Amino acid sequence: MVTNESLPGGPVPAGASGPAPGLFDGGGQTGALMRTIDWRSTSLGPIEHWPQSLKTIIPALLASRFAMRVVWGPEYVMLYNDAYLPVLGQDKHPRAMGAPTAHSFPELWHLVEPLFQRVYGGEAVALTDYHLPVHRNGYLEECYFTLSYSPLRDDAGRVAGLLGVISETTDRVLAERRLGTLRALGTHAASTSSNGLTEIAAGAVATISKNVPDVPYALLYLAAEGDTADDTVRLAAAEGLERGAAATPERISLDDPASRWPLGRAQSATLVVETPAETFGPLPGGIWPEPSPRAAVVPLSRPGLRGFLIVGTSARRAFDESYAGFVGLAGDQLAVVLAAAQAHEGERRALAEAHWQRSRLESLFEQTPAAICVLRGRDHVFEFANPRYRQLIGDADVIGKPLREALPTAAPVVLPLLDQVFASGEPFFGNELPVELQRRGQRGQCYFNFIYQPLYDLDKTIEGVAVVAFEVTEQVNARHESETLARALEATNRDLDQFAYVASHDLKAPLRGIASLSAWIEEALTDQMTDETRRQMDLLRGRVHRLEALIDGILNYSRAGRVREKVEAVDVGALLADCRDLLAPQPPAIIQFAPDMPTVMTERVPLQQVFMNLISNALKHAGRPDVLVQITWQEAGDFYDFAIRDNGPGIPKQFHERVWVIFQTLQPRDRVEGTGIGLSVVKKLVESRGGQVSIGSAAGEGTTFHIVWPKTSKEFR
Amino acid sequence: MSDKQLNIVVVDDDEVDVMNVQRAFKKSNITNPLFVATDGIQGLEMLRGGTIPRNNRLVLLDLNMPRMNGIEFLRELRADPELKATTVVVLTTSNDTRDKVEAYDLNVAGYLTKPVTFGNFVDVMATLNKYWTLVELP
Repeated sequence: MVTNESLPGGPVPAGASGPAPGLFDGGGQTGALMRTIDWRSTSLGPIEHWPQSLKTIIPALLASRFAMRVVWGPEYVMLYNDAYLPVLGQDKHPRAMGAPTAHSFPELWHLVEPLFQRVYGGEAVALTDYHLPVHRNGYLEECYFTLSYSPLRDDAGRVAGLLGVISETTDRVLAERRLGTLRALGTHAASTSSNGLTEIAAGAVATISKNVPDVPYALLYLAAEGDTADDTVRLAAAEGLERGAAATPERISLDDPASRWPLGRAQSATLVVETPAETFGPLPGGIWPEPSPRAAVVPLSRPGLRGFLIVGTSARRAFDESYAGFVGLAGDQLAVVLAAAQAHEGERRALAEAHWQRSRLESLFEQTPAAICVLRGRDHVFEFANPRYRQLIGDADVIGKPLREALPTAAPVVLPLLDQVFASGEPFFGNELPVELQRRGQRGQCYFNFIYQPLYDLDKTIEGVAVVAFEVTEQVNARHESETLARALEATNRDLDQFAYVASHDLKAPLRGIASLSAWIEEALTDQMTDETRRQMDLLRGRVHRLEALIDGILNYSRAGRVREKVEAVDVGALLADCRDLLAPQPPAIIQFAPDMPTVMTERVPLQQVFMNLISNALKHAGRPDVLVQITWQEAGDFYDFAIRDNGPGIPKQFHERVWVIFQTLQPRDRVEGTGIGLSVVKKLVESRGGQVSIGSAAGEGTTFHIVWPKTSKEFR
Repeated sequence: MSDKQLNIVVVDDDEVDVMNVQRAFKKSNITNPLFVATDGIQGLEMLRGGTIPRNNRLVLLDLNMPRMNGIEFLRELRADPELKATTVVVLTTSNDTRDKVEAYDLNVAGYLTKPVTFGNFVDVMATLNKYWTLVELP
């Protein structure tokens, strides 16, 4: 035997066994090896005893650039050429030279022996991409071969061996398989774009894992969506491994140095991690009985995406360049798929959000009591109109039509306004604009409060006008009606005024006649008068005075709310002093008021009438000579609250409402002369100036009238 | 004295009121000539005619009268170049502010509301006469 060191390309020493000159000539490394072997110790025996057919094929074997071997004899002794060396790897060469095949390939002898037997039976065998796991580089390796075995005969013509021509196709088979996976991943991305990110991630990882020989297991860790700054990633998908196992933590912190998966070190390039069972627990081998010994951690990095694909690699393949390339491409592909899904999901969310916003706005438009429409362009084409608007224009079909066609009756009024808004960009606010509208077959005048708001496109140019309108026809009509009524009422009041004036004159004239005539009669009949007739004449004159007072009262009452005077600064103290002088109470009756009475902006005469009426009332009805009338005041917001208090008999509560009613008196007229008009005039004067009257009194306690009078009266127009 | 004597023209449709004036004059011993017209039209006719002396005229004018009322009478009077300086005192039942304002706008020399009782009427007439006797009239 020789050592490996002496093998490569050394000078070939002359064989001690005396090989047949030229038999192993050339043939490179393997030829040299053959020359060093003492063939007598092999089952082939000394070379000189080899059959001629074997000797003939050996130079051809050594000269061939194709991987070939010759298997000879019942022990299937193997001879091979240089091109065959890669099939043997580091483990089998040079021991395999001249050794029985079963010794050299114990791992696949069970696969090969039946083939050899068939060939020894005289059959030629050809196989394509035949899977033969070979232990040649320190591990049992997944390999594929295309091979052709043809029988070799001895000099007697019996099959004594075979010629194997072998082509290793491992690289191609694996490349095709891996390409298939990558292709499937691309297809998956296209076919599942309507799903959510989570489903797409799981589907993509499953697709990768379908390549079980290359991918015994696969894990996907992703950062929380939209949060690429977060240093924690979560397990998004797991294939070939249960979740919750030692190798499948739910979250991994990139900063955690104790983490089983050192993701922090794999952020820029694929990292290969040995995965011993002590640390990672039992790991699957995919279709292989041996557990996956290591994993490739592939960073997935795209804008908005951060994650890691962990691929457990096959125990039967070295993690070579093409394996790394496959895993890297799978990672890239996955990143593309996920980034697209994420973008799509974002887009979908934005769309859903936009849709929701739009439907919310639409429902707002649909339900609002305001009439809303959008007019597009220079011709004001109806683009949108809410139900209230359509109802308002009489359910006419206006969408897509220019306003001048859609609403011909309204156009003369609204078109100039719309044109102005469209041209100037200034919104227009309309108030009770009269518009002629054809509705439900009826043409009528309608009134609208509305806003014309210019609409701008993205370039800030005006593209249309939004109309928000409220119909106020009913309100306007109601107001017109009430204005008509007010005018009618005013006319009625003028008539009443005229009536009161005429009545007072016409009633007073005959009254004066009665007074005069009765006086003259009394004068003429002085001698014939008895005490009784004299008293009757007095009564007659008393009735005349009362009737005169009634007539004056009616006149005052009719004037109280109607006749308006100039608003001026009225010093209430001075006004009350005037009243006191005019009323001239008989001592010991006294009228008192505070020296600090306020000044009011008001009409002088009605206020004076109010005080005169109330003070004279108090004097008249007190029923005692020492009447005390006190006038005080206090603030009441925008008003002054004047109190007129007396020390009279008071008014029982049940009459408090009644005293304000015209012609109501609480005393027989013959006892206290009164018309029952004074307080009703007071009430009318005060209330027509925006004030209030009230009474506070109880029998036996005196009476207090409260007059709430505005500090500043409105100028009556 | 005679050229100072007032020629009093009462324009009033109410017979009792006219009587009132006459009786009040009598009561106060006023002997001035008293001319009576029952409405504005007759009053103007009398003033334009020759029965009333041209000077020292004093018209006592009621406002509410048939045919031509006091205010209308005043407008005609003030529009007449011959009569526009005529002294007029309103003697009426009306206490209406509008009537007062309109009357004074037409240059009346006074505005009296007719007292209801005869006693008061006499006082008013006496005062009136005394005043106008003192006043220099055209």
